[in-house]
Amino acid sequence: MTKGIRDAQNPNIEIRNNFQIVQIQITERRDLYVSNNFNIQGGIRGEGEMKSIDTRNLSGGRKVLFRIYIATFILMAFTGFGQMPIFKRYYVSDIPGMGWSADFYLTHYIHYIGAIFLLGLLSYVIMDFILSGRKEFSLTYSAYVRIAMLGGIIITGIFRVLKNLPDVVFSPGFTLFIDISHLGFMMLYLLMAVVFLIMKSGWVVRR
Amino acid sequence: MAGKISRRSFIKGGLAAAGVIAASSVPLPAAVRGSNQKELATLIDVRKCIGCGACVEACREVNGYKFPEPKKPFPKMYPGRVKVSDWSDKRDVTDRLTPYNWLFIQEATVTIDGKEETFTFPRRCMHCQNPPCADLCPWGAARKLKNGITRIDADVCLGGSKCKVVCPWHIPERQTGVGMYLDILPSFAGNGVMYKCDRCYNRIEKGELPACIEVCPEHVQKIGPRDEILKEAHAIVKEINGYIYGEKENGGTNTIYVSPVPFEELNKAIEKGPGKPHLKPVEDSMAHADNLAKAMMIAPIAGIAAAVGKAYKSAKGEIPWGSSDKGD
Repeated sequence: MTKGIRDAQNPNIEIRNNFQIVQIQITERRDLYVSNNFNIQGGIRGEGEMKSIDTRNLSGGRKVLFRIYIATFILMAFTGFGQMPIFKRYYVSDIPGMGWSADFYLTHYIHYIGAIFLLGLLSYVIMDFILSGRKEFSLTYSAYVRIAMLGGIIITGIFRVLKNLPDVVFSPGFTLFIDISHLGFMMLYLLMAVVFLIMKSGWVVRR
Repeated sequence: MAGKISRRSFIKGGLAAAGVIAASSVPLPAAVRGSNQKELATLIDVRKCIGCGACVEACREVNGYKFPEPKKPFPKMYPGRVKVSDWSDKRDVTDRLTPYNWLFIQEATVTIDGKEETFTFPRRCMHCQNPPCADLCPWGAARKLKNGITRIDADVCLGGSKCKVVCPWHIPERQTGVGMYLDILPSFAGNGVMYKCDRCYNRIEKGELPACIEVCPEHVQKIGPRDEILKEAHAIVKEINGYIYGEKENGGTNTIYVSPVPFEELNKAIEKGPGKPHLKPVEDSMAHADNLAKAMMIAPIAGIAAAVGKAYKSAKGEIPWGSSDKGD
């Protein structure tokens, strides 16, 4: 839950906190709810509630980073599911402009490029949080769950990439485990993401 | 093929039968025995093959217990465009790859110095060094073993046929109505099991030769550590001024063919199509992915460096967490 600043006397002006211009959201009660400089989404609340939806994330409120993360994640999910032979079977590749989705090599390259991008982005955001963010903010329980799922996806993904290199051979059992668990972690992450969206649970809370 | 070369036709039947009968348990060469951790390759000398088919028969006999026994009727497939692959009533087909025929004899009649000559040679899975079928299998059903075998686990495979699509030679063949998909969502996901040569992995485990190598009356095939097989292949090629196939194809395979005529010529002459693989040059299917994998190692370092740089700037100028120079 964001600890916003209320200022009912000046409902129509931009309010700055210590750092930058902040968002203003007005509830039906015409109370003014102002977030701090961290990313607040969710819009106006009805029924006189004064809650704000806390979707703050590890990008420290930078919407651009968070949107890039979401877009990349959707691309990764799509190209990841595309590794299963389902897009042709279920007409996805028949949609005009989607013919590429049935090309296993192409979706594989895109998945790899997305992974490069995601690894860079997550490394930046995690390191940034460790160095700066955690002084003021702590992770929520749902963040720990998401991080565990993401960790599972990334670790099994790394092993999958290693497996695909020449001269790297894992045992049949381990190969089976990393292949299935990579998909399993992803499915769990998506499920958790929906649950946390419904619960309106963010990644961080102010200490 | 029959009736074309009388000498071959004559000895073919007899040798094939004798070969299969003799297929008891010839051990692997001493250098190979117990080397399940070492990459083994086979050498196929096109000059030696007489097309008798003993290898085909031996493969079917020795691996018969691995062949699919599908349950019929097959589950109705959705959507309707999904076609079943049923070879169970055509088990006798031996002139192409099928789920019941993992090895077949390919024939090429080429003209050398104005003289027509017919070559025959066994075709099966090439057992790539970096097999895209195993790399890209979404279930881990197709795997490469340390001894150079690429094997599809029939207990895990769902028969999506991706391995066949990504294989440069389109080797694996599907049989519907068998396998794990029947226990999951048979009408909506999966379509059977993919089958191909497993280079008699279980015989090699026991220190025996693959059946096709063991029964060959002409010693067309040989198995050994890849480096030694390659050395021998190059020696033959040098001696006969010949050609090699499989050393560099798809980044390197564990099936090395040597021939006195260019493979380009053989490729033109062979019958190609479903279940009948080509002999074209093949680029490394996984090369781009391998290069991207290297970039993947740099990405986290770049991300961490950027965050450290920002923290340094922040320490100097009190930039808060969450802000950026662009103010987004």
